[in-house]
Amino acid sequence: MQEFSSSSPVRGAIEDLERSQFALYRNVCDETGIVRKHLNVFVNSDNVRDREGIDTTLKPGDVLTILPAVSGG
Amino acid sequence: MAERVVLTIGTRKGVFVADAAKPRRSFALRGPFGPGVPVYSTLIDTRGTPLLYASSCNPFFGMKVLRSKDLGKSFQEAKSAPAFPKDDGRALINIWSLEPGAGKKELWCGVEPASLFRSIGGPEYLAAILAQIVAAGRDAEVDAIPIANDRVHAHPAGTRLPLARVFMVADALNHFGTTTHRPALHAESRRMGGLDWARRTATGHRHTAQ
Repeated sequence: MQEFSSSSPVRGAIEDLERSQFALYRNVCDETGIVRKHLNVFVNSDNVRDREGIDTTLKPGDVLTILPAVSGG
Repeated sequence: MAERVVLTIGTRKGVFVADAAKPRRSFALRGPFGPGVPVYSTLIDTRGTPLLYASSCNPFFGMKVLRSKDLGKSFQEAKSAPAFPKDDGRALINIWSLEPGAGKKELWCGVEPASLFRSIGGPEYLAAILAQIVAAGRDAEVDAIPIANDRVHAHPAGTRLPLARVFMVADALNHFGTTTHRPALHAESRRMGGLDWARRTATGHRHTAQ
C-alpha cells in the first residue's frame, strides 16, 4: 500500500510506481507505458476504463486497486 | 559426481526438467516451474557452471526470463528481461528463442515483434542478461537463432509466414543484413559439423513442446 498526500491523476501514481518499484511497474505496464490489457485499475469501485482512464483524478481518501482479470481453463 | 543427462521441456504451463543417469534408462521429472504460463524456449548453457534458462511468456504480466543455477531444482525470475525502449513504441509479445552467443557471457534472444536482443555481458551478466536490441526485421517474430562460430542467423517463424521469408544474417561484427536465401543457413550449418538446423535441434539437449 502506498499513500499519496495530494490530488493527482492515476497516471501520477503509476509513474511513482515506475520510480519506486520498477519490477512491479513492469508487471502493470508494458514498455510503452500502457496498462496491460488483462489488468484492471480501479479507483474505489470504478474501473478507470469507464472514467478517464489513467487521467482519472485521485482525490484524498480514494483507494487505487490494480486487479488482474481472472480466467481459467 | 556421476554424470547426469538433463532435459528441459517448455510447455504451455511452464518448464519441466527431466534428468537421468547417463544410460538414460529412466528420467525423473520435476516441474512445472514458473507461473503456469507458456515457455516457448529453453536453454541449457554449459559454457561455465551450467545455467538453465526459460522464456516465460505471461499474457497478464509480460515477458520474463527464468534462470536456474541448480540444474533445474528451482528457477528464479531474472532481474531483467528483453524490453523495447519506451520511445520505440513497441511492446514484447513473446520470447521465441534463447541462444548462447560468443564467449562465456553473450546470450541472444529472438522475440516477437521481430527483433533480436543480445546480452550486455560484463559483471552484471548474471543479473541483467538481456538488454540491447541489435536488429529488427520486418516480419512478425524471430523464431530460431542458429549460431556458429561468431556468426548469427536469425529467421522469422514459419507458422505465420510464407516460405519465401526474410532471414537476418550478421557478420563477425554483428552488422545485420537481410537475405531471402535459405542456403546461407545451410552453408553455415555445414560449418557446425554437417548438421542442418533440424538435426542440430534433434541432437541437442533442448526440447520445446506446446
